[in-house]
Amino acid sequence: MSYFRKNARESLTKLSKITHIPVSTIFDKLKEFEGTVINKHTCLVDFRKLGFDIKVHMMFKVNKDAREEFQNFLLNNTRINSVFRINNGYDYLVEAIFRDMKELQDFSEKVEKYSVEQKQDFFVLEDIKREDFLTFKTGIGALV
Amino acid sequence: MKIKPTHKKILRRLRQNSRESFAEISRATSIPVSTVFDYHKKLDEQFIHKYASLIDFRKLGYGIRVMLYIKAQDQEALEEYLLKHPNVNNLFQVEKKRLGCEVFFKTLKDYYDFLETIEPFRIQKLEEHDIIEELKLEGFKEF
Repeated sequence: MSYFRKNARESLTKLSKITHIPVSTIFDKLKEFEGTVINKHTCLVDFRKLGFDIKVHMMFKVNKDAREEFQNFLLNNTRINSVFRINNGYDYLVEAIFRDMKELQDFSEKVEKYSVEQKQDFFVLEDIKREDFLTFKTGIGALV
Repeated sequence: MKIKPTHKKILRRLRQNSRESFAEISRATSIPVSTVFDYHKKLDEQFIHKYASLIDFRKLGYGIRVMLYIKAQDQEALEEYLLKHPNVNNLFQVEKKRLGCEVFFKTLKDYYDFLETIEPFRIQKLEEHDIIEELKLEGFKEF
């Protein structure tokens, strides 16, 4: 699984050569993990190169009665990459991606319709490390 | 390279399932398999940062997941430390001269031990938010 964290597109044959585990075993294990611990295999994209210059982490505290409606809004909004429920003064942490400030402004105006009591933004200037946990060799032992 | 609608179609498939074969992508998008192969190479070189399996770490015993926003006097040294730290999953440079950092730990003790290790970097501000539930991860595909 550590190898799939590092490169989810790696071929099973190549993995078998590296790990000395038979291809059939890797195949079976992968199928087993896909139904349990692996949520999905994806590719992490440089959104700036695709023309999306703005990446923001937004935290929202929302009135309890409006929470479900607001959550649905976040989950269905096309500009939202990730959504988490959090604590310590806020209810939701969101990673949102926009082409420009105008798109961000439009999104903020939509948010105003919900009972947002508190909001904090952090503009992401640079991704330094992404999806790196348990990609090290030391991680393999922890996973077995 | 300017990105074309065909590139985007392939990229969307890879965002959804990066283990999909070229033949499967070709069937799903009606793009010839040779074009998928060529375009994939270009996407890989220029737009794709990495292919990763997204895992439910809670099921592996890592029940502590925290998002931290940190401002330290020794910011550069802290960045270097966090970059090498095995429990740091994501690390960002954010505005207001802060670092955003997502960490996973098995126990609260491990997490507090980690917090002690960053104290020497002269922490000025530390904002901690436990991630209680992941509702959506890497779902953006409307490019």
